[in-house]
Amino acid sequence: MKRYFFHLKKGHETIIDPRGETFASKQDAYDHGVAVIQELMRYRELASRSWQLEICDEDRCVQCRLLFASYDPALEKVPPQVRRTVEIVSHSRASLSDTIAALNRSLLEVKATLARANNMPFLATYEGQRVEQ
Amino acid sequence: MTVQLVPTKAGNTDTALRRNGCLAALSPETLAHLKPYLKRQDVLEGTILWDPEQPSSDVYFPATGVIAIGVPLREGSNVESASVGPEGAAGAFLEAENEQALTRGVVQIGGDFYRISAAHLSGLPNREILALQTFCKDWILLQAQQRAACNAVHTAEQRLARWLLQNLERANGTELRATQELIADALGIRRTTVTLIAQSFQAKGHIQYRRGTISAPDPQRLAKLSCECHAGLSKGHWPSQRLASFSGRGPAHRREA
Ligand SMILES: [Zn+2]
Repeated sequence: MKRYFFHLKKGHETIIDPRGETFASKQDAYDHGVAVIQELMRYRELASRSWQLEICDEDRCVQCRLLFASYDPALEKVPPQVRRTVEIVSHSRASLSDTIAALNRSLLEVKATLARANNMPFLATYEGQRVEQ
Repeated sequence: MTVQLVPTKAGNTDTALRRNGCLAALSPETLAHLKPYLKRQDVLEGTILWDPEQPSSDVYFPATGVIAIGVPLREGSNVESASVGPEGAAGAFLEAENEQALTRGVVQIGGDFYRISAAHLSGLPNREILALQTFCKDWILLQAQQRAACNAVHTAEQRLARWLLQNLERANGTELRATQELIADALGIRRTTVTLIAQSFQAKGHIQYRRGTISAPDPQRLAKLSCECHAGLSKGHWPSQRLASFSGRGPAHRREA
């Protein structure tokens, strides 16, 4: 049995798990970490996507960092490339508004492309900027 | 675990009895009637007071400490549906007569309780006793309904804040003896999850955690973090408060007197 610690990283803030839990294998510790992520993010999926859980061993060596967005059940039904985008955006520790803005912008880009394809005099803008491919 | 009730030698003075809000709300005559049958006992955390396999014929009035009430689903699972502290009473009157008991009552926070047999309690043909039992049942039902909704829509952080507030209020807002394992068990979440949330509350100064004792310097700050379920379980719903109004011993009635 080995002791593992589960530290939570929320943006600039790090919350230390001073006690840890013992597990027979690294896989068990990982499974516990995923369950903790699911409990912490339940009903606040959007706000916690960029959080990370860091699993450390007894020597305080980081075993893995789990990104909350990777375990968001709300993203399970989303196409893999969109899901990956959310993960990447969350991973770069973009704020929630950045994530939403990025998604809005890509929607506008699609609209602009469609408008151009239809030969419509359509100018898609986002926050005053012209949206271009 | 078997029932462990350790009799204490302290007597049943009215002052000691009145630490339980329901006993305090009874008229002196009714309390005097019950007094010979009320047994004071120290109860340890984790003691099972009753469950479907070990039904009890007693009713418990916590003077300090808390009883968690739930329906046992599987071995070791003990998520609370409701809890009762010095603001109420729980026990044999919860289940329908001559029916198989369904609930389990476990001591969640150890303390001293007054125990009386349900037969002695209901044997007294008294409208105050009837009201007491009704208000205590209402309280448990209200909490169970709210708990079900809370578990379905509120975050672990909100629920932990709600649990802390409710139990601090019971303990008169001062200190609460509760380990993180106990809270994790009550909320049905992992101990690590409770630790991380409690660490964050502590870092922000919302709570202080020392050797299993929790205090909140400003409960209003916890209230902001809690879900609205806490407001729905306010003191006005406590059996002790309702009974005090009913018996004309509450603050609302003192004005008329
Ligand atoms: Zn709630």
